[in-house]
Amino acid sequence: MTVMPSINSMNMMKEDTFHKFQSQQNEPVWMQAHRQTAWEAANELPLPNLKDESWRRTDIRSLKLEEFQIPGNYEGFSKLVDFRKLEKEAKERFELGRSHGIFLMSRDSLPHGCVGCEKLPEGVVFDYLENVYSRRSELLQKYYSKAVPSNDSKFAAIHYAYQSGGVVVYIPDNTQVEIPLNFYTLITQSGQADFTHVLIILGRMSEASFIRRTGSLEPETPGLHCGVVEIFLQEGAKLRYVDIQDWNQKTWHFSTQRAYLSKDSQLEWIAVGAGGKIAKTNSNTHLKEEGSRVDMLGLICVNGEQHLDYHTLQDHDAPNAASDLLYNCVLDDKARTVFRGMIRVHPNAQKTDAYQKNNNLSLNSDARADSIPGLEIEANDVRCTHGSTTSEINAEEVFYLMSRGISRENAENLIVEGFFETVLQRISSEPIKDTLRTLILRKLGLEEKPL
Amino acid sequence: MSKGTLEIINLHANVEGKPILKGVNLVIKPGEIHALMGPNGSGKSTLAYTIIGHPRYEITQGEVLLDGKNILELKPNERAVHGLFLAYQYPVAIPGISVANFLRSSVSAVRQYGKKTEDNSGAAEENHLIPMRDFRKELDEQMKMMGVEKSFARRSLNDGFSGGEKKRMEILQMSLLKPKYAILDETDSGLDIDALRTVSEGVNRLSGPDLGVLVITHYQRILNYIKPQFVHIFMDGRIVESGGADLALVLEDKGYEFIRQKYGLEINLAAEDKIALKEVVS
Repeated sequence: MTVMPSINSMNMMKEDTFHKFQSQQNEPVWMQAHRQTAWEAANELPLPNLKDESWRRTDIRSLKLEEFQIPGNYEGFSKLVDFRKLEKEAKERFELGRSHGIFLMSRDSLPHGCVGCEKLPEGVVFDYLENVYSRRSELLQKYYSKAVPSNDSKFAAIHYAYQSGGVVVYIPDNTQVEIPLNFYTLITQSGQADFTHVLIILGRMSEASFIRRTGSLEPETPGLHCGVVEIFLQEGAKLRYVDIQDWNQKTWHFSTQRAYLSKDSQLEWIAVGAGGKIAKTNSNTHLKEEGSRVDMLGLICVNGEQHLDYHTLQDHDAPNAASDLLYNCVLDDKARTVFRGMIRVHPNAQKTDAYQKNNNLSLNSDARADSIPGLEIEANDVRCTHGSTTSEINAEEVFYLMSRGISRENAENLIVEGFFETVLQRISSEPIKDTLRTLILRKLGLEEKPL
Repeated sequence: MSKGTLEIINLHANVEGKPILKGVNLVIKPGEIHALMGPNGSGKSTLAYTIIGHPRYEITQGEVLLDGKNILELKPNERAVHGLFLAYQYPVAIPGISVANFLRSSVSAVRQYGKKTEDNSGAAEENHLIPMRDFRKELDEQMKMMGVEKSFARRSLNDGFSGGEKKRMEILQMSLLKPKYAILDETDSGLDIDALRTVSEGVNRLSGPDLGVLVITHYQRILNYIKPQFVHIFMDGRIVESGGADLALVLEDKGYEFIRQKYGLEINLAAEDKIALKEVVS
């Protein structure tokens, strides 16, 4: 058996590397052309720097793209590693078997494959993007890269050039999938770059729950994620989308996420930020038609020297639509968060009901939270409010709990849990609430309390 | 002093360098109900907070002994474990902490559940928390007795509660924690007559030979429901007169002004106290 030449450890920004990668993909012409266009954009667009308004608070000068390995062939790799051990560890990490749902591991993660996909209703697509090229070509051509174009930014362009291992969710009209669809991505090698794409399309009056979760096999290995999430909800569709960013603290994370909502559709969008070294996440929702509604909930918990930067947009482009955002961040050690939120109401979007709130709880005086809420309103009959708070643990609350016998440490822990609980309370699914609570308590170094 | 006695001896305390308590002496024995009456600003609440251990109050002199042990050296949570309880005038609201979760943590801590079960191997796994099933049963019973709806258990602690609901929650906590000494700080304030009756009945149900109670109040009203054996008048940071239940009636009759003149105290009564006095006198 011949081992194909490894393209790992080649500089991803070199022409040769891209062409070798491209030649190894077995994909239709239109996708090849799309990659080529993206590659050109990736070369033309500059890396953002501190002079860019939206990057003023996030310094990525130490990012060396050439140090990361693009997705390669794993045939050679698989000889070097203990596959079974990896599989076991991956399953434990994501609690496969304990959680409820259908599971797909990213094709670039090891192991990969679907658990429970046979349970899906007729016509539902929940599969790797590569597997869908031939089967649902018309679907992909209609939606792929339509929410986030390849020239959107340097990182989006790189993503589309090397896009690999992603997932497509398509729910046909009038179809409800009750069982949650889980898509997991694991970085298994040191220096691995991940370019998973997430494309979700819900047909008219359909419903689904999708959980995207990321992680790293080892705590100290550097990684890079450069991803795009595209969501399209047709009339009356309902989606719960949970995005759990739980890379190790040596992983760079750049994610561009955009959702388009049609008439009367509803999106419950939950963003969990636990991992990452330096992360920049742009989450935009576009309420394109009347009666649509989005709830954007953020649970962010950082420590060490983590730096997580969130930009959100609630873009109201139709009358009688509603959006409600609540992002709560807890910061410890020297960690930093940036929240920059915008509610934009176009002139036609009368009777908009939009709300935006960011609360930050700092456990250490060396931590820093920046909060920049914003409004741009061009309609005159709307209800829009925004606000932010940044505080430390309230001494009166601690005293009250202590006077009821609870130690200072436990009192403070209860208060931090309570801070997240105010967001968790807004989540409509009990199992998801429990999963997220467990994840956050673990991140906070607290054992899960049975209650 | 006999075992189980709460003794406050020559207690002096400052707030931000300013003396507020100026030599408080008071002895409460198990089974006794004491009322501490005084105008606003006289330092009644400071006394309550000092006993319970709020860090804002700096003790400059004196002792508070429980079972002969000076509790002023203990942290607030340790004082609670020793059997001290304060029903707050303004209970703190904490969003996100459910009443059930809070109470279970509190009850487990005060009863030192973890310490007891650590000896029986394996039982301490649940973070030293009283088993959920046992706790819920007890909580449901107590909530029923306090006229608190079951749905309260899931609500955030005091968050969005009405004045009456908050006070009921305080007494519910008292009934679960079963303290040796309970201080009720202006528990009657902000309560309508029905709520006052429910809360008072709750306190009366808990009283008995093992519980000492200190009712801090501005008005005589609550004493129609919770009957003290001893009444103390508090002014200018100390107790200026003590007597039996009839002292409250004297006060109702003559007002704080009378006491002030009797002792030649220079206290500026707040405007609301003057109004309150008129109400009391008329």
